[in-house]
Amino acid sequence: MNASSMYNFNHLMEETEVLCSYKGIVNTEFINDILSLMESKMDELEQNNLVKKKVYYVMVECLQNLYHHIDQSEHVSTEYFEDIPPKSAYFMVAKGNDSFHIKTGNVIDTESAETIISKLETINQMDSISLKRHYQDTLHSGQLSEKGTAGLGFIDIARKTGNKLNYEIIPINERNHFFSLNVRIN
Amino acid sequence: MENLKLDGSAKTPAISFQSVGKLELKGRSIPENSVEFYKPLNEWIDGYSKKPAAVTDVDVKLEYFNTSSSKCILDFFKKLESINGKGTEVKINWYFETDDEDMEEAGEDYQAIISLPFKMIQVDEI
Repeated sequence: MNASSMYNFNHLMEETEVLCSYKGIVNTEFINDILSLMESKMDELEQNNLVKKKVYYVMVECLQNLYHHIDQSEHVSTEYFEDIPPKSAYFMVAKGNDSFHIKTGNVIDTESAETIISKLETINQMDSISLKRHYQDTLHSGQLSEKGTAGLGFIDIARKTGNKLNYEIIPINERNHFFSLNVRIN
Repeated sequence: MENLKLDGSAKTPAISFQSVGKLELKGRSIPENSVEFYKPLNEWIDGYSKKPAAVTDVDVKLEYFNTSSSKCILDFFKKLESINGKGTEVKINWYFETDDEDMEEAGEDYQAIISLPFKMIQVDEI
């Protein structure tokens, strides 16, 4: 990780209690295990049913986003980034004083970086009414991709959390970028 | 027409489609591949449409669904929309828990897109 990413990561660690932190391959078994574990943990930690549901929902979307979009096929390692094996990602859930944070990190290709930035910037400029319309339009007109994704994940996360999608996209080499997403639920 | 019954799992809802016109989806719909799960449901509607009941009541009692399922649910509603008025009157009953504004809003999203009567039903627990 570069200095900026590392700073944000440490900053998040200090202010929050880490509930789970993972670096590795994201497959169906991992998703099932982590969702089941985190659901029990959330039952202990949070009384508000709606917050519990939102955290669970964002975890599902983030994990399945990683599951469907990790196309990285080679080891990535540079001066700033530690070794990231193929098909793997970072996933972290943390609890702050009045919020939960779900953070993901994965390697993307340079072409995807531009698409993701454009999607996220569009979403972050929208208020709740525009997001609702954007969601309905995309749901109505969109087709599922070959992977079974609907292109609705980021829109719905922004809509359900009511918060801006905090992200960083940092170039690693000519072919790859590192994409980290930090979703806040309060 | 045989009834369709599927047990629910941690990631897929329980399904009970009865040829007398009582259809129910209940639980969670968060599979990685939702297309695979929803295909037999749409196929069942194809068969049912040949000799439907006078009224088709569809109870949707979902706790969570992922965005991949949201598209499949829309396609399922479109299928029901296409048989509405052709020997059957389709009604959607959308259930949501009292404090679950997200699920209530999700029902409203479908209501905005689909021309079928939606009844929003608030319950303490699904």
